Amino acid sequence: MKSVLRVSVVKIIQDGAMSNKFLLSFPPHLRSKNAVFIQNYEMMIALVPSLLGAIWVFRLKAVAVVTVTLISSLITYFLFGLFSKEWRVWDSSVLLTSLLFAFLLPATIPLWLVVFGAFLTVIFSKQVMGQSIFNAVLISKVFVLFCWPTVSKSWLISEGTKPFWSEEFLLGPNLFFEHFGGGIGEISLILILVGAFYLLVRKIIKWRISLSFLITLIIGSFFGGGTTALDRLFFQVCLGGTLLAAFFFVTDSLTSPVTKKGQIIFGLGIGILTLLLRFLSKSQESWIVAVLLMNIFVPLIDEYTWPRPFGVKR
Amino acid sequence: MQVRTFAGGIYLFRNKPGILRDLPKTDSRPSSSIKTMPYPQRVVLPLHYTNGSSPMAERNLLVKVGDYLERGTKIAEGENTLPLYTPISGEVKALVPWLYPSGEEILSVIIESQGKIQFEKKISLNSHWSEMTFQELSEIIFQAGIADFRKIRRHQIETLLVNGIDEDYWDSSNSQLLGEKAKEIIEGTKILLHLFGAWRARLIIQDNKKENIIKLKNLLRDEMNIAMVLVRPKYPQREKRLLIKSVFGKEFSVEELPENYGISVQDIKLIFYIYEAVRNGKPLMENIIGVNGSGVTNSQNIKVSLGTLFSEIIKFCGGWKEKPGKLIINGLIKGQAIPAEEMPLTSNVNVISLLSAEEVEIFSAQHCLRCSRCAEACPLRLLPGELAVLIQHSRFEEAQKKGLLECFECGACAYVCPSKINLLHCFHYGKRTPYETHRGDAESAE
Repeated sequence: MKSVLRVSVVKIIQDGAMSNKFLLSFPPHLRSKNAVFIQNYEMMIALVPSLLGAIWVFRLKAVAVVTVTLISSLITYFLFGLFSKEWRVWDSSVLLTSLLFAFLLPATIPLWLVVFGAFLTVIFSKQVMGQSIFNAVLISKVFVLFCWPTVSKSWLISEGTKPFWSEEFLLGPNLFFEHFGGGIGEISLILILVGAFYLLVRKIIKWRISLSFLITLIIGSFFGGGTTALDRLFFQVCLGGTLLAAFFFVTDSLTSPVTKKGQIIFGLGIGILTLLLRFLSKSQESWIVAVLLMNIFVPLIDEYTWPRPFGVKR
Repeated sequence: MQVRTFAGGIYLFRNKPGILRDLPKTDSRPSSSIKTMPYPQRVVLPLHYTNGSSPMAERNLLVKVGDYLERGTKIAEGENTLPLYTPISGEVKALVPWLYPSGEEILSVIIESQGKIQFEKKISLNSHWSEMTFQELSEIIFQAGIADFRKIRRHQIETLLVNGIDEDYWDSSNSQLLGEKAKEIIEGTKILLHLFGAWRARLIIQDNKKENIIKLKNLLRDEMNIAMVLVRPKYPQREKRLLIKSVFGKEFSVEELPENYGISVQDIKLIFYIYEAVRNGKPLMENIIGVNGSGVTNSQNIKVSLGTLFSEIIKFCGGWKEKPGKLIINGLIKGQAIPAEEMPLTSNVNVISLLSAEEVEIFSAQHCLRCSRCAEACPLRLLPGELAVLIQHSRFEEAQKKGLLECFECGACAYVCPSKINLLHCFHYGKRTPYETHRGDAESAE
């Protein structure tokens, strides 16, 4: 207020010239055009190839699962929006989390289960119970898996399925659509890699986590999972949605460390836990539990890998 | 030639992430030569010296209201404060408090001129600078109102770094000055080398100014102890600590002075003013500034008399192109928005940026995504997002232990943040909030 007064005094001295009014704010006065919604839509663009592949293979079943997930999560979102002012603002992350959740479901899953899962995803991702330290998509997947284990694992295996370790896998068009069974999003390794490449080029994800996770699995593939080296490699890296996990689930920014070292440790930890759980439980999807376990350690990892600031002596 | 840089920082013009164009519309870098603005009708000069951060230094007025002054007359002086000179010939009209960009009201001398400058007072120089003693030379630089080097010799400076890097992407005043006055700057560097008793100097220039590089290469061919160092035009490269890191690989904490390690970093404009004072006897009466931004009609580099009101400068540059939005001094990323045009130019202003109302964006902060983009942009290896959380919860001591005081508020983290969290504001607040701690003394010493 005082400054306004002073400006008026200044103006009197300034023979009554009109002064422009300026906006005052704290720096920075220019910001990058990057925004949260751009990050979310970039992730969704990277999911599009896999989605199209799934629709190509599963036809209407995939379309149904994905649409029901999206619609039911949107309804949940706006239902909760009735009670919370904050939620009335449109948040693009709802679309992303529900799409990611749909990618983990088999195409044959009953649709009422999809609705339940989408409901859980929105609740976990929008933090009804405060800051969730767990990956929202994976924890709702675990809920669904735990309550309806047989239904949610009813992988649709199409007719012309060949074992993925056969020669045709590498030579024929089966590399694109290898129907070894799995969620909607895991239908084609190549299409997942296309999306992952887009994310890496655009620098959307924390690539250090993906890298250390995949390297750990590749090293782990020397120890078991098949007869030949290639066989073991595919068993560890490609089966059970592991490749999808490496680029889309492990790298979830909210529930992963922010330090560079911490990201590497995080990926390493998930890799080791996945390998251990695979040897113990024989479940290919043990990476889900591994990610959730490592989520607990994220604050600890950040604390211990806090970088030494510039100029501060050790 | 090797191009040096530091880890972190941002390339303002090719900031990759994001689906849309990332380059802000303000892409109007002036590349024209430095124009001299005609003498203004009125100047407002602060009686007391201030640079915004350190406490105001008192000066005694040497003239009376109603006196007629020639250009270059000393108006005020203090024992340990730089003297003040009038840049125009005219009558002292008034002595009134005036509002400055720093937010302070300072008693100011208002001088109005009727006609042209007929006579210009100069500092008397007895001999060439190479024959002067340290006391004589430092006294001339002090009396010219440029800098106080009178106590600096005890530091035993070995290396002089000349900072020729532009304020940010939209500014080109420093590199333009270097390109136009290369000979003068090299001589100014020699003067400072002589003054400091230093044995080598490094001219630090951006590697994207090809003409400057070629020109300096030719000029520096015969110089034994002055060399050119190329750095990438990354954003907070102008910062002293990052310059030393880029050139020598040494890291300094805020608590340490580079002078203790024999390094002195001086701005290129200062070198030029020293040259003008020591060779031509000109006291500091003008400032070379860049005027840029989307709001200005002609963005250009100009030489302006100190004390000129910003409104006059904007008028000289063609006025506002669009509806006025923000007036910012010293860079668009870390600069300061000022409330009115009727503020005088001081010697610590390097750039004036004008943003049109259309381009002024108001952001509302969202939840942190923990995307670690701020950590990658931070040149000091801090984790800005995490520190901001600590500050928001008033856990200042913990934030300080994690390096909060090292932050020099460059704003790179806030620039890249996709959630538009006001990180810079957080740190500004966190660093200045008083609290008891073992490192509390360091702040008061600053």
